[in-house]
Amino acid sequence: MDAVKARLQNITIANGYMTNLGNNVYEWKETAFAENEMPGIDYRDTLCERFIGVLNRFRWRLSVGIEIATQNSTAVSDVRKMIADVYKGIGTDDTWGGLAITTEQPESDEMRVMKEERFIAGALIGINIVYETSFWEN
Amino acid sequence: MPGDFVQNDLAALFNLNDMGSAATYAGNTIKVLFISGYAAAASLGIEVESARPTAIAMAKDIAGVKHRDQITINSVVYYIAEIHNDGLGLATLILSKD
Repeated sequence: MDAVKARLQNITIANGYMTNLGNNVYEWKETAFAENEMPGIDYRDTLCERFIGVLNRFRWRLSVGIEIATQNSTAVSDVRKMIADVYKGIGTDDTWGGLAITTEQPESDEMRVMKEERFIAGALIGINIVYETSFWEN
Repeated sequence: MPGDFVQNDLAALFNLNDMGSAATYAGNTIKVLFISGYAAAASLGIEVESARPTAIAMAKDIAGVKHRDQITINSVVYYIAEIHNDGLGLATLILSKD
């Protein structure tokens, strides 16, 4: 997950992305996003499934949920850019430096807009990281 | 039609020395009851700290009010997002900073 964090933190305008989403990256964030923590990402490795096992080798699918949150009058268009930035970031190397075999591109992503004191927009992207281990490795 | 209570007594609620706050609407200074309690916004498992600023005003002070009008309270400019008229002389304004 360190590689995922580093990749997400790399999403800055200075690095060629459309947004500075990488300035606020959290792992399993337990509290609500505060104003100074947005735009922000929270990522969660929620499920790891073994799906192939052959000759002392197992192949695993690690599900990672990536949540995005931002707020301001342009939150909706900003979140669209942030989703694109996340895809772009993952696509730069879907093996995460050789740690994985591949990363399955999501079949969908989901956006929500909420309205309280500010326009708040969020998105959820689910990716599956496929990797291989020997017996009893994870 | 509003009776004496709304026309006369209710105004006491907006007293600036009590619960009332001064607000600027359409170039006029009016009195409102301003509340801005915590309201978490949550969806898709994403939770964001926020608030739900609300101003209660005498309907006669904001005659012609419409969505996206601006009102300034405590030096903060808000946009009027929702207008809830009670039909008895009061209006609750749901406010937004965006």
